[in-house]
Amino acid sequence: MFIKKTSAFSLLLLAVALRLFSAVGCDLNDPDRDVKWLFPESTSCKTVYVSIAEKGGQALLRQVEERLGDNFKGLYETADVPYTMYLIYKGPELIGYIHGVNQKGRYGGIQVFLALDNQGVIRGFYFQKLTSRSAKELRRPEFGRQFVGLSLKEFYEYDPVAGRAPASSRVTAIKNPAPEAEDDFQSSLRALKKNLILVDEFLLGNKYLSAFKPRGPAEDRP
Amino acid sequence: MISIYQVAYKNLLRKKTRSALTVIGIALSAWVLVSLLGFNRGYESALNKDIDNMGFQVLVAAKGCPYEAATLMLKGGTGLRYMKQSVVGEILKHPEVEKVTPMLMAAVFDPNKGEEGGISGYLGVDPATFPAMKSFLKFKQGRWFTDTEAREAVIGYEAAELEQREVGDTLLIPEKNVELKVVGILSRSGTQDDGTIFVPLAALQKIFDKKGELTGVGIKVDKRANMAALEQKLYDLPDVQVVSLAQVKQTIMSLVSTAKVMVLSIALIAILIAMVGVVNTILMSVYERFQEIGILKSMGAMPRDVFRMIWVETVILCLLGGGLGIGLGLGMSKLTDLLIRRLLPYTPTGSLIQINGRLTLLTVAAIVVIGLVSGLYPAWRASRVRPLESIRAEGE
Amino acid sequence: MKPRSPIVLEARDLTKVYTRGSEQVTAVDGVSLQVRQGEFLAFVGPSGSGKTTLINLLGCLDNPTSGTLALGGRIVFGDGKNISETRLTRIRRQTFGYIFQKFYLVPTLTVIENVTLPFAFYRKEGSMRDPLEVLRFLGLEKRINHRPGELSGGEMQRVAIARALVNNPEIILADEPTGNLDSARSREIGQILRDLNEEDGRTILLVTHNPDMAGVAQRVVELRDGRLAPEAGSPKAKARRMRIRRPSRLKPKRIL
Repeated sequence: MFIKKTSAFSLLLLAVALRLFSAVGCDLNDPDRDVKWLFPESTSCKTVYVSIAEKGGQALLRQVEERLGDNFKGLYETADVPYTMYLIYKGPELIGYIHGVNQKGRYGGIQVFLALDNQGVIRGFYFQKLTSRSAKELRRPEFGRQFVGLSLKEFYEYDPVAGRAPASSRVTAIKNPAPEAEDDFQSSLRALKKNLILVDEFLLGNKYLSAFKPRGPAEDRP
Repeated sequence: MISIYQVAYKNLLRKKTRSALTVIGIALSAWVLVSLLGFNRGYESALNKDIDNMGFQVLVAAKGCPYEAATLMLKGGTGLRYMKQSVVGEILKHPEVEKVTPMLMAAVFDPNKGEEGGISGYLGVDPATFPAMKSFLKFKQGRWFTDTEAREAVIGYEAAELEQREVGDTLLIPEKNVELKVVGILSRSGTQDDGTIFVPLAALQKIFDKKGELTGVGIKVDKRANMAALEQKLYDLPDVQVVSLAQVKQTIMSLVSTAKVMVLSIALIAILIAMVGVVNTILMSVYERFQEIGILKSMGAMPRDVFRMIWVETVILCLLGGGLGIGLGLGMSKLTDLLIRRLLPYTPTGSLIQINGRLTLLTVAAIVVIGLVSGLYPAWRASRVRPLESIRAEGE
Repeated sequence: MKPRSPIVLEARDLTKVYTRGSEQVTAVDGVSLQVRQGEFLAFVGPSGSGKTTLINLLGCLDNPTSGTLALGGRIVFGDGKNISETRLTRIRRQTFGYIFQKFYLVPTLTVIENVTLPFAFYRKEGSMRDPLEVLRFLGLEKRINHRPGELSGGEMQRVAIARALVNNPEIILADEPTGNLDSARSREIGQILRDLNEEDGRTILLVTHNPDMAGVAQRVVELRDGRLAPEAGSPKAKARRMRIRRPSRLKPKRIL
């Protein structure tokens, strides 16, 4: 009887164990630890939750899509998705932001996290989640370092649909260490651009909007 | 013209702060009580839902050390035990069995999962029998697979959302380095299926090199059959263990009932304390009103009239407190839900606190009854006041 | 000779003994008394004379130690048994209306609510159909919706008087009704009581240590050490005892 009971219980536990942890937005796995290693000089952090739906609805969605150069697609990229944004402080001074976005990759979800200074310039980049055969190469720090110093100004030039940027752009200079995962690499760039746009929209007050040049007809594209 | 009830109500207004504090005391205990009852109901019904939604009532699994299944997480999938697929035929011989579905659980270590990697689990199911047993599962996108050997997958909503998978996407099984094509995403069911990745049975058997083996067989028992008798017979099968989901339910419920008893006692204590507050308030106001009560008696109030008046004051306080407490319970049920999920080890999916009309009435009734009881002494004491106790004899 | 009005209250040898600590105090000692309908009696005497205790007995607010009391011919206290509070209440509300020194109005109720409060418990057959009339009679019609906190002392006592009248009591008992009022208000109350007695024919029993108030009554009874002072004797006493004949009215017309 005892065996029956305990095995029953443990089987149920197994069923529970198989239940994956549900994540709706894109949060830091461990904010205390993660903020500290991205911003060692920080003293406190504030978390803000926003979504496109509540801040501007369909009109805002269209604006963001235009700036991105690509539409929001699929079940999981909608105007209702909540975005978690972290404001980082040193004492009373705001020193930067952390923000992560979900992106569909080839085999699974990709979570791209950016650490930005208070002007919106990248000072840190990492994959919190990456399901890929080439995950090891892409997760190397050398890869992330390529993005330091870039901002939305440079990334406006990146076209996520075509998967490239003008030859002169600093974005083109970014190397993909895993050519067999080219699609995931491109997806990460798209995620990064989207990340920067969302931060600009919700936190920086559209500082970079003036730098945005809407795309002309297809012939004009490089 | 004024009635006793109006007089009683206005009496309470005389000391507004005191009445308010007493009402708050009752409200808090009512809140605890109604939340507790709601939790009882919610937990049980969520648990039932989880278990009923398994689709089958009896599970035959491979015999093994009881805790090995639970340590699957730690051992990285090596702890599972298997049974031969032929057992299905054996099971079908029993007339009580209406339907069966064979299943194979498999797991691998995924270094990309979470911080230091985690387990990815897959459930191999037979497309011919499994969807029929779980007919209430609805699809958000796509449909079930049909070929038991196909390299396809149907994913529960939460698992899909985590990996941003949609129909047509690819799913990679790490370690085995096999790609599956997603053909269906299920809608939220509120059960553990939301986090499950379903793969055609034969395909999974091949990938994990477990041809002809199963980890479990789900059995749907004929409605008229005697489940206990069937379980007994199934025991005779070699190398298997029979899990009755009714048993599972009982096990968990008995674990939970200890918690229930503890919380129930706390609720009772809270109510007792609130009631002491009520008795104190009313009694104090009776003592302060001795003279007035004496005068009422001189106006023609019978002892029973005075009794009724004081009792009504008690009931008014209890009704106000009870109503407020129930309102709090309803309003804060989401918050309390979160709190409980933190505290308990196993919580079924679905809303944990379900407060319905019946529970509300029950709580109100409980509060009123206890109020009536605690009001007895002060009301009786008031009714016994003699007019002269109040009207001091001049100079005597 | 005009027939005398019926006896509404008759007391015989009423005695009340208290135990105070180890001592026994005889507050009322063998008092016998008759009150007729329409009479206005004032009980006077020094403090400690037992007048309040006596009026409590007469008003059925307390049980005597011994003696009898009959109301309208029916015996209330007589066989040495204590009457229960419930029974006493029933007897009281049939017969008496009470006015006390402290007005005892309910502070959360308005004037009209206070006045009609007795109706919440008991409505006598023949009770007033319109309490507003009594308020008008007492000059309170402008104060109907005010609370006791907004009234003067004199007004409050008038409200108490109105309340005592709503159930049309046969006998009004007033225990030091002007004790908390200044002399001007006292005189007002005295006049009201007189009007109630003369115009309305109510029987009134009054306890007072104020000689002016006592003068309002027809008949003054003195108490000393729990006993009635002899009424007979001096011509003054005789004059006090004389019942003032009601001018050309056999039965008092009830205007209220």
